Amino acid sequence: MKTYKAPGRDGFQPFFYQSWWRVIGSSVCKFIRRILDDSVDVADFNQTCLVLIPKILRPEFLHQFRPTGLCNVNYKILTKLMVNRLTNLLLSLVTKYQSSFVPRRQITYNIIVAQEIIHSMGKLKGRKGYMVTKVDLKKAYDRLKLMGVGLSSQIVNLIIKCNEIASLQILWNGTPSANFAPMRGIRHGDPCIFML
Amino acid sequence: MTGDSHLILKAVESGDWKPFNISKLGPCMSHLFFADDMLLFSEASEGQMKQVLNCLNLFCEFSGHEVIVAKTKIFFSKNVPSTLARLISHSSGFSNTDNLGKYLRVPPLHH
Repeated sequence: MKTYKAPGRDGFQPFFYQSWWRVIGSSVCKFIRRILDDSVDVADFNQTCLVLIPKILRPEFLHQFRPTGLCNVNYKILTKLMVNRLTNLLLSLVTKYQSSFVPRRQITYNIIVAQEIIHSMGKLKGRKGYMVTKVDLKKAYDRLKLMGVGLSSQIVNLIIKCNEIASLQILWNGTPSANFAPMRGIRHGDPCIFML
Repeated sequence: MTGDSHLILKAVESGDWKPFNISKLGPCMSHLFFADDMLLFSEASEGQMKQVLNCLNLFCEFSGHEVIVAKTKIFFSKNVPSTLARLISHSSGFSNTDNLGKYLRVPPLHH
């Protein structure tokens, strides 16, 4: 974790955790373990500030902002942990036709395969013709809905809790707004992004 | 995206989706994903287009994605008659192109 990332609502930066790990380490570990055992509710510390960063000089519409969530470090530790456990599983879950977000698969593989196929299609003879459809999807992460993929119910519950029971506040000119709960989407930079 | 991948593989397995054979004994390619960039390969026919649209609609419905029809393009292999190509692009609403533009920032076709 980067040392001086913007802090979440509790105000602690990763710097605090890293420099005082000797003192707080064991209690943080205990806390995370209790969440994984489902004896503590994630909602208590899963409070996120949303900051709207303008993409252009004079933004007029909402889509000209890039929302950035500031999570608590505790929460980040939890999600990192879950992702690290799930990445091993991912390789068996994600088909070989998809190469993003999976360790040891590279973007160049896709480019090469696509080039080869389209090259051979350009030279094709014979009766059977083929087509390639290049699909353009609207902004994936902003409108993502979660779907279960056959994991154990405990971990699925935890993931859903992390994403849906989060309470968000928009930080507008330095003052936080009222709480609200997100309906869909995933936070930018959330390690959970791996699991799409 | 994983969901859609499995959806397509199922359609391929049942024979409804006819994928592109790289060579006679080589593997079949039905789709290629990188994050939300997707390329779908199939035989050029109206029935296959219907199958493609079917899969896309189903996927959009349960994942909350949306296909931008205006930006979606179809590329046909050289031996597809232009009347058939026009028919397919008309029935799907996607535009027919002989240049796919850039896929993952690299042009997939070199002239």
